[in-house]
Order: sequence, then structure tokens, then C-alpha cells
Amino acid sequence: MSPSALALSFAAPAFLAAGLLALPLIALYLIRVKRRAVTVGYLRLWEDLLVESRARSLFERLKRWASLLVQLLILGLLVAALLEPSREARERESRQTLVLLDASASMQVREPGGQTRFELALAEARREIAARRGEDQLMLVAVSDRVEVLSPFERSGLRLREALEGAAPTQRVLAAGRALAFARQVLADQPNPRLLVLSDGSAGEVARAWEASQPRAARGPAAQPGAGAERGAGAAPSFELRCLGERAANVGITRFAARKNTSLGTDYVLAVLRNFGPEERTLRLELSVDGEVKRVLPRTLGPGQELSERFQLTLPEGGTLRLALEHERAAGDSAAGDPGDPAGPDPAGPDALASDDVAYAIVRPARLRKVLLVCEREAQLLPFRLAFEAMSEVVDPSSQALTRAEYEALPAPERAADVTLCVGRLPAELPARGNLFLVATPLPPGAPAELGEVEARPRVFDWEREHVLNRYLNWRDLPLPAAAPLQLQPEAEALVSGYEGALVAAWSQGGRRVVHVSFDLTGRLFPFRLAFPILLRNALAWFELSEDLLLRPSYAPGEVIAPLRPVAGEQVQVEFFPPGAQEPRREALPLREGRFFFSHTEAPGPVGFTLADGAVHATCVNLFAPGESAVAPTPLAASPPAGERAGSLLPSELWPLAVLLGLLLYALEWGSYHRRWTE
Amino acid sequence: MSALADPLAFDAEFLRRLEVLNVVARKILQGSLRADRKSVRKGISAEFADHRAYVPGDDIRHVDWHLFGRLEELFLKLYREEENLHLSVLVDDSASMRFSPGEGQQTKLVYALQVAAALSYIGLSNMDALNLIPFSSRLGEGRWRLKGRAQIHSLFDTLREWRGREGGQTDLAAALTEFVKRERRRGVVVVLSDCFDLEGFRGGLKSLRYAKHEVYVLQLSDPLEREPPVRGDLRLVDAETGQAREVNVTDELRARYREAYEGLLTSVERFCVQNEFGYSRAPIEVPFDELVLGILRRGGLVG
Repeated sequence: MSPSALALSFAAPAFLAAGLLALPLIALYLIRVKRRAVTVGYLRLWEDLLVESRARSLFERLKRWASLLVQLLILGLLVAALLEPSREARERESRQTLVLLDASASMQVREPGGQTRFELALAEARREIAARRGEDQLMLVAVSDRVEVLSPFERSGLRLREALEGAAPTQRVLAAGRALAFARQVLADQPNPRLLVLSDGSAGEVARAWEASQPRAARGPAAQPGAGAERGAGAAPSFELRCLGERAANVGITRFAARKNTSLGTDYVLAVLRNFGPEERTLRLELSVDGEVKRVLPRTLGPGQELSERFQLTLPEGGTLRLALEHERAAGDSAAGDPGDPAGPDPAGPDALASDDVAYAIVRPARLRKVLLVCEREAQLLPFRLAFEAMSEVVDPSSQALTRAEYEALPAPERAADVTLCVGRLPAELPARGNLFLVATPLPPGAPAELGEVEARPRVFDWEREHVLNRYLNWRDLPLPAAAPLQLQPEAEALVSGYEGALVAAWSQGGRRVVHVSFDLTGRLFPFRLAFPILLRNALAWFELSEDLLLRPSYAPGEVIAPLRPVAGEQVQVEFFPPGAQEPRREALPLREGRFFFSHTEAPGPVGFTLADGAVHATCVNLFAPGESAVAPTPLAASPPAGERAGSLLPSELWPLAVLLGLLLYALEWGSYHRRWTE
Repeated sequence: MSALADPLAFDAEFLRRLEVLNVVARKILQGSLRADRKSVRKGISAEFADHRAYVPGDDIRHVDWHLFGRLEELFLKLYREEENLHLSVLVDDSASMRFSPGEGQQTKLVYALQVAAALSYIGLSNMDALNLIPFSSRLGEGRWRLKGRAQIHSLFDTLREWRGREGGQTDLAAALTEFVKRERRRGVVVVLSDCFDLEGFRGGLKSLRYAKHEVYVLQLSDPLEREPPVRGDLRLVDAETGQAREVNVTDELRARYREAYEGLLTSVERFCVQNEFGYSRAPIEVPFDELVLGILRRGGLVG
């Protein structure tokens, strides 16, 4: 063994001064050893007795010195405990290590040993604290989609361990790129920097992010673990990913959404599942609406298989959809863990992560739209009136077909509509709100388009088949009347393109959507007259998408929910399910400048907001994160050699016990001397 | 310590206790302590005691002429001489008597002085001749041949003075031998001592017996000496010699010390009984007047 291998370094060398306590200890001992003089009347009486005790004096003296040695030994033990010595594997400069603790959802997977991956990460961090040497400093950071600094660069093992006590796992997604960028920034000015990531690899996201964060010249072997062990200030940090965990079996919901089909008056529900594990899984899909089970489907997914399920429901009143995965379990297995339970399912269960076994979606209640149709001539109104009659399930009875004169004569409140459909000419004053469906009209002011030359016989070149507005429509070889195709700016979208420009276009303008048809479809275009209700339904569906939604359909765990537009009032009522709770909790959120911020989004579940006017807006929290659902640990290509790690003489957790043992021994020794237990 | 609390203040309360003691003592002794008690010494007196042969130089006035007439030999008539009792109170004032293991506790010397004061008061009240003498390695400056109750206050002063003096080393043999040389008249000798002189006390007491004294030993003992409140690693220093010994005082050693101390008391008592000396243990926690009464009741001190 080389001498350097025997060298010791201390985590807290300042405590070496505590060794000076040996001096007062020895002084106190000598004082204690110096016998107290006691006068007796007749010493002769004692002398006979002393003859016998003199025979034991050598033993007594030796015992006394042994007592001093034991005390010094105890003091040495205490000082050693405070110093936290570690054995040097090799001599090197002090190191600045940034420890990133992955606190994302996949770290809640409970391993066969009963510990979660996050608990394993904490144990690794404690080992790292115990193994630091000399002037080494550690910084502890918990990362998910956020970065939480647990401890700045710190040399004291005690404070570092205290900082770890405050670390907690989350159900959030790991934003590895952001975390590593933060790490690079922190380590940029540190001498001999080192980055240690304690993670399950998050489906390779960490490795990819690290690779991506490397300067081009440094990519490749330099990015391997252990590289750059001797680095100065400003050098690229050495990187080590300590990959935690073993389990890989997991089936998760990666997408769950509901969309109201205004064209047909039904609701589409889409669910996407994926088996992230290496084995085939059989499970049941259970879809419920407001707690009532609507569908139960047995499904089998092969390794890595993704499955899309579509459900069609009719929910005119809307509702909260819940999709849950029920794994088939062998006899004797305990029930699957509650998805709201952050501890996850039973380690012996078939699914490692509970957070992605349940998903929620909101179906908004159907709403009839008020449509005002404005034509130049009375004769043009008939086909539209017929169309309204055919669309009674989506069009409000207050919808009207009017001439332009009649429309302009209406008082302003009555001109408010969800859709104003203008044919031929624009009214003198457009409504302040609501969407516009313009047929062969001039462009409204500010439109991101220009009218081109009138084309007598325009021909369709192509159309956007996936667009909502073109659903169920086939524009091929359609004989069109004369049209003035639009020359579009980038903000506008061509839905039907002719050779000279856009024949049908759409854009958003001033908080509303505008559809412009450049030809008159009320003329002799008989096929189109039949298809107009379809086009109008499609337009209503597309307009509905543009309606000024208050909230997004789904939020990620941990994400702050804030309204997309200001709301009126002083506060809103929120109803949500805290983690593990069966009953919803209600709270009042204050409004500041029309906005609220809701952050209790740790667990998947629905969240409802009731505004001051009584309107209810709901959304959901879902873990749709393939990177988290893919729970199989993904280490880097090369793992650091075990011998590279510094070894502590004792596991760090044992040093406090050593201190306690020392104090106990000292108390025993002291008590033994003063109470004569050992005499 | 206040004057009232001083055991040697010899104040009115002390005198009252002595007077009570004296009255009780008179009742107990029923005249046996009369000043006119007969002396064992034969001399000229009204009461015939014996005859002896005439030697030249004898006073012919004491020749028994009746006997000469019958036997034709000269014999002198001897008469029993009448005299007062000679009471000697010898107080050990060595350093061991002045020392107490307890802080601020009463010493054996103070107790001995109280007892001596009581005995002296009784003796002077009965017109006895009193010697009150301190001793350690030799006799100290005492009071010799006191008579009459009028002496009692000066005697108290003397006792108070003794308390303030330095104590020496106990040598009973030397001190008592010196006493025998100085006091030719036989009498009652009361020795107040802790007898911390294992070699000397036998020789000293025997010299008193050889001088025909009636000896009474009051052996004083301190409860804190019988049960010393010490423990641990100590350096024991002898109060008289200054010699020191290091010792680890354990419970076991303390028990053995108690046995040794009891052995010391027993050996002195056994010696006194064997030599027909009066003996009493005087634990200093017992009030001195109770002790004196107990001694008088047993009748061993005088009579």
C-alpha cells in the first residue's frame, strides 16, 4: 500500500483544534488524581488496614493511568468524529461538487428493497457527503421542471445533511436541459468542478441533455464519466450520472383529451397508452364520467406498444372524464396503489408508477351559438334560413337572417352574436366581438390579406384536408363562380387554394376568428348550397376552438394554473383534490389585476374554478410525460470505476453514533470513578 | 460562635446544671464523699488503727505503755488519720483531642473540659482537694490542690485558657509517670482521654496504680471518628504527628476501620477491668451531665 493511500483528509479540519481539549482534560485528571488531604485523629488505626491496600497500589495506579488513557481515547474519538476523516484514494485538489437530485415523478418508483428511487438518491447523496475530502465543497440541488437549491456550496457535513432533510420528491417532469444549464452556470467559476447527477436517467433525457450541453469540441470521450478529474477554475466540469433503480415495468397514459364535435353534437375522447416495460401487460381501461363508469375495456399491450383508444360520447351537459388503468394482478397480490398516493403502488405490483395510471379530461357543456346572417338581398336569405332549421341542435333560436338594412337597424346589444355571417358587403359597423364568416365581401380593416383580381372561373389547386373547416368536404373539381382570390400574409391560413390565391382563408384578428370565402356560395352553386350547413357546422366548431378559453385543457403536475385572460371580481373559488384525498377541497383565490395563481397541482386530478359571475371553468392536472413513464433506469454508456470513489473510514451516518458512544463511555467512566461502581 | 452557644462559656445555665448535678450527686453518694472521710494513711488521730515497733527517734508520747507493761517491749500506737479526698482530674489536651472530623463540630477536648468542670465543681463543693491538670506528652500547667467552691470561677477561666492552646502528641506513660512523681498523696485520679496511645496508655495507668491511686478512665470518642465521613482517594494526615498515608477509602475499608476503632475502645476497657480501674466510655454526643450522673450512679468514680 502506498503512503498516499494511507493519507487521511478531513471534512472539517477546523475541529482539529478540539484536540487541544486534551490539555485541560489531563490537567483536570491530574487535579483529580491529587488526593484530598483529610486529617484523622489517630492514623495508627488506618495503618494496619493500609498494609493490605498497599499491595493493590500498583494495580490502582495502573488503573488510574488506564483511566486517563481511556479518557484521551474518548476525546480522540470525539475529535475524529467532528473531523469526519476519509481515506484518500489518491492525492488531488479540493473539488467543488454540484449534486443534482432528480425529484421528478419517476423517482417515486418504489424499488424491490422497499425504498423509492428518491430515497436511494438521498442515501447516495449522504454517501457523497461522507466521502468528501479535505476542502471539498458540495452544493445540493433538487431538480424537476424546477430547480430548488437545498444547500449552497458547503463544507460542513452536518449542514449538508440537514439540507437533505428538506428534500422531497414531486410528481413533476424532469427538465434535464434546464437543470444541466443551471449546473453549468453554477460550476462555471468553480475550481475543479464536478457535476454529480443522482437520477434514474429519466429515459436517457439526462444523458441527451448533457451531450447537448457540451461544446461541440468537447463532445465524445470528454463527456464520459470521470473525465477531467483535474480541472481548474472555468474548466468544464467532470460529469457523473449515478443511475438509480432497477424496476422497468410500467404502463402509462401519455395522452387523454376530449373534444366536442359541434358538427355532430357528440364528444370525442382520445386516450393513448404505452407499455414502457419489457414484458407484455394485460390491463383494463376504465372510463368514467363524473364518477359513473361508462366503458371498461380489457387490453393487452406488448413490450413498447402504444395503443390509441377513441371513445365517442354524447355529453351535452359536459362532465369530468377519468381514465384509469387497472392492472391484472396475480392471486394474492395486494390491490393496486391509489393513484393519488405519492408513495406509489406496492413494489411487488406489476406497475411501477401510479401517477400515469390515471388521467382526467374535461368535457365542456354544449352551448347553442347565436348566428346573425347579413345579406344584401332578401332572396339570398332563404338557403341560410333553411340551413339554420337543419342546425337547430347547434344554433340558438335567436339566430336570424337579415338584410343589411335590417341588421344596421338593430340596436347594438342585439347585434352581438357568436358568429356574424356577411354576404356580398360588410355592414357599416362590424360587431365589436364574435367571429366573422365573410362570403364574397371586401376584407375588414386590418385583415392580413389582400383581395386579388377577380377570376372568372377559378379552379381549386389544393385544400387543407386536416383542417376542421374542411371536414366532410371535397373541393376537388368543384365548379366555382367568379372569385377574387386572396393574397395572404403569413398570419393568415389558406384553407382552399386556387392557382391565383386563396379561395377560402382564415385568420385571427382582434381576438376573434375570421373565415373568408372569396366567391358567392348563394348563387347557382347548387352542390355547395347543400354543403353549406356542413361548412357552417365546421366553422362553428373551429370558432369554438378559438373561444376565449379561460384555462388550458390540461396542466402538468407542479405547474401553476393561471387564467389565459383576466377575469372580473375580487376572488374565485377553486375546488381540487389534494394528494391522496378522496373529497375535494375548496379554497378562495384572490384576484390581482384579474388574475389568479393556483399551485396545488402536485397530484393528477380535476380542478374547477368558479368565477364571481357563477361561471364554472374546469381543467385537469395530468402526468403526460413519456420521459417519466419510461421508468427503466438508463445509465450512461460507461459507469465510473468503483475504486475512483473516495472511501470514508466510517459511513457518515456512524460518526454521530461514534460521538454518542464516546460521550456514553465518558459518562460511564466518570460515574464509575465518582460513584465507585468499579470498586 | 456566640458566647451563649460556647460550651465553655460556663454561664448561668451551665452553673445551674452543675448545681443540679451536685445535689443529685449528694443524694447518690449519701455521705461517702464527706470531707471527713477516713484516709488510708495512718497517722495521729483520735481513732486507733494499729501498733508498730518503736524505733529510736519516735515520739515517745505515742508509746503504748499498757502494752509495754504486759510485753515489756516498746510499741507505738498508730491512729487513722482523717483527711479530705484528693481528686485529680487529668485532661488529655493533645492534638487528637482538639480535632474533629466534622467541620465546626464539638471536639473531644471541649467535651472533656465540660466533664472536668462538672467533676471539679462536685469535688470542690465537697471540700475535696482538687488537682486539675492537662497533659499530652507531658503534664501541662494545671491547677494543684484547690479547695473550696470559691475556686470554681478561676478554675473555669483556666479551662477556657486550655482550649486555646496548641495540642501536643499523646504520651500517656510519660505524662502519668510525671504526675505520680509530683503528686505523692494518694487519691482518686480521673483520666479524660481518647487513649490514642496504644503503647503508652498501659504503662501510664499502671504507674498510677503503683502509686496507690484510685484510677478512673473516661475514654472519649467522637461519632465522626467512629464513622468517618470520608470516601475516595485520600491522603490521611495524623492530627498529632502530621504523618500522612495515601489510601483509597472504600466502603469495605470503612467497615474494617469501624472494627479497628471498636477494637481500640475494647482493648482499653479490657485493660481497665483487668487492672480494677474504673472505666467508662464517653461518647461526646451524650450530654456531659448525663455522663457524669451515669458514672456517679454506677459508683465507680468515688467511694
